[in-house]
Amino acid sequence: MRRLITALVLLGILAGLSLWDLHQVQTLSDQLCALTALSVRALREGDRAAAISSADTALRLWDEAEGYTHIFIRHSEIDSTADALFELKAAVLSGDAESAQAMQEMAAYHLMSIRTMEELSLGSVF
Amino acid sequence: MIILLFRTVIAFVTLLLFFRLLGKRQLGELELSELTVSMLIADIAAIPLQDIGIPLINALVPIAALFALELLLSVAGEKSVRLRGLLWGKPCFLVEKGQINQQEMARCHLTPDELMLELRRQSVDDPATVEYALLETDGTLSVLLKPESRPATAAQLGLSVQSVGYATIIIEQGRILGDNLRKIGRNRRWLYAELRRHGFGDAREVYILTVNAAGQVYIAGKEKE
Repeated sequence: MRRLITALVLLGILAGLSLWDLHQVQTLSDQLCALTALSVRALREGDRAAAISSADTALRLWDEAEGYTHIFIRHSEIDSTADALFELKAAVLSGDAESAQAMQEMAAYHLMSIRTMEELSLGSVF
Repeated sequence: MIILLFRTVIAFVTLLLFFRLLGKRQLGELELSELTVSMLIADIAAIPLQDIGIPLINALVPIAALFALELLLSVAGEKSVRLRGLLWGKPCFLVEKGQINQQEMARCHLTPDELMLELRRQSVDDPATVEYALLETDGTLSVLLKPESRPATAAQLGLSVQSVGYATIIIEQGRILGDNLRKIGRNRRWLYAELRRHGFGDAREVYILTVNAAGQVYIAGKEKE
């Protein structure tokens, strides 16, 4: 009976951890996608200060999530996403809306890729 | 570098803990599910140790999940004979009533050569002496000899034999094992008297000293360097 309880508790903890991980990655990717999109939109509308602020907030959010990302996400994915966010900020600082748009899409692509790997689907399982 | 070191220590301790919890059977004869778990765990644990870009949790979570599944399977197997047969198979009667069962041999993918090899491992060199031979679910062969080929027991010979129990190690490579000494109800004074009686001045001169339940002492001195 003790072994059965141990196994069920352990599986329960793992399932809970998986759900928490999924929630974290969904929240983080949603926030970052929204912020980067906001940054590009502000740049297109001529509000450079707001664009820089949103890009900065996105970078800060990504940095602050290090405790989570470095434990749960492959480091190559972390680096690719960080690169895209830095490139976005550089494009925003230079005022190049087209480059910023491209970098925003690249960051969103990496974030969605990380998210898709964590979400339960036929594609991610197989 | 230090990360690799820490990861190795964590993976090692985790594996030790899980294998300890799974039981000693894991170390010797493996059932099918245990073999599967062992192979998977060894592989899963190795990957993040070789690549620090992969989070260690990618190994720890599958290992914990495999451990839990193996526990569940073993509990379920204990409860259901049917499930046990389904998961771990049933023993094969390779030799039954002195006859080799060729159908069973084929079902277990065993050739006569391999059967002979397994019999020789059991110190049986003549298949004609075998009454039953079972290939157990963990892959080991259990052999029961025909009555006329079995060693005579003391009871069959009408002898009265006193059990001497198993031998307890008291000195191992010069080191006195105090717990074992207490377990057999003796003390160091008795031990030193025994050493002197066997011509040893000190425990450090002894390679091994054992005492069985009948109080018989076996002693071997260290070889001179």
